[in-house]
Amino acid sequence: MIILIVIIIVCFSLIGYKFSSYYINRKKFFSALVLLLSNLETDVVFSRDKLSNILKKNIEICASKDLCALCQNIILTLESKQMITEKIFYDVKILKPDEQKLLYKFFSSLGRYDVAAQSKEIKTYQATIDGYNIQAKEECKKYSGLFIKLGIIVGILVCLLII
Amino acid sequence: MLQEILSEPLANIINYKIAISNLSEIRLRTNKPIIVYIKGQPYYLCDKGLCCDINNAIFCTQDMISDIVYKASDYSIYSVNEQIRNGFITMSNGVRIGLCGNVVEENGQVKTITNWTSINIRIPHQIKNMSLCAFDDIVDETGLKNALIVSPPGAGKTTFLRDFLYQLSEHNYCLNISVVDERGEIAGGTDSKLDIGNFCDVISFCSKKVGFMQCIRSMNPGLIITDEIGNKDDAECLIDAMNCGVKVMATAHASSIEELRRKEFFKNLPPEYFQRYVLLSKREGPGTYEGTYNEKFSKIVKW
Repeated sequence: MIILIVIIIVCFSLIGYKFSSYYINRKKFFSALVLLLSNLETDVVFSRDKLSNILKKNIEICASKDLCALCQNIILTLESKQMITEKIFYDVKILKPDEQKLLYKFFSSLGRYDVAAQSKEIKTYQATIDGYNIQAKEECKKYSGLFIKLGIIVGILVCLLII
Repeated sequence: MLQEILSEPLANIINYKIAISNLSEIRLRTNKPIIVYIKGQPYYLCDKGLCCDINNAIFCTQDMISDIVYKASDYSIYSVNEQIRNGFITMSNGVRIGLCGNVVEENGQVKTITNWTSINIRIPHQIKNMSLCAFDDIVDETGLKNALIVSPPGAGKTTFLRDFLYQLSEHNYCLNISVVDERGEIAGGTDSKLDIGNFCDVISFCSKKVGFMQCIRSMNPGLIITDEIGNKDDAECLIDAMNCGVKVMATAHASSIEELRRKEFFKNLPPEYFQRYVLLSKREGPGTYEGTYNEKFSKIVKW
């Protein structure tokens, strides 16, 4: 009986964690994206390396698996000499439509200007993405713990009902 | 070589319906037919390959041009903007794309070129033994002579230089050669299959002034090779090299020796700076050898 109760609570906690991971991943994604933008700007201005090389370097230090997947898709698109399309978001399920639209616009505008204009363009997007980052952090703080707690409570409730 | 920058249909036509070894240039102009140069002769590009009838020709759009420029820059315009400012992009395989469009100027300096309206894709070639006709005139028992390769644009000066470098290596002329490759055309880039022999150190995409100084300071060259001498500053670089005891081989635009002698940069050079002039033309196709001239501008007659 005790084992069954433990299993039920653990299962519901995991479901709660699954819901909360959405917010945790969003927080990681936007934090990593802010860092990526900052590195991108530095590399564009100083090393003037090709976009795909800059992204490759940043994947190695990227803390978000969603952002890694997004960068990987962009690199593959660039290396196959294709235009960036919305297909780059294929593996990224944590973005809201308006965020996806903005990021699509941002990534498809990359590499189209000279150094000064490109740097300015990155800074413009940086301001909006900073806003998303703050929002994602607040949502994570608010909801991630809540879903885990809810999972545990629902698990306990189910156990009580069974008993 | 061209599939990296051209759209699939265009690349297929060029790769499968045209002998790419004979292709020297592709010209794309907004809303105009695409023109390809085969052995120096222009043809319209059509679905079946080449044609002379404009009605069958494939027309170019501005999107087509932008797409090629973006692809040539690996979707990183900022990384090649220094080249764009000078009016071209050189790809790592040595293909050079000349650009025309709206020039953005700031304080009298070109900042960039945008809204590209015309491009000229030049495909580098390696024509083995092309320079042999003049090789013995430039390199004889007394050593290597300062030489200038003279021809109108598109007549094979750079191809001649490239083969000359290869021939020096083939003839085991073991000499440290510095190639000041302002536009990355002589040696191509990292992916280039162009063979410039075993003794060359290449400094690319820098001005002649910087390139010459860097090479003389750090590479201990016996010979410096550079493309397209055309102004007073270039002439100063040549004089500096001479004062450092370094031999120079260069190219210049002119269709005859008389035309060359009227050029401003040439007047700034000491008399008899160049001991050999090799004249090329397009008379029988690009790279037609017209003769070698000595420091007194007399044609060297071969028996």
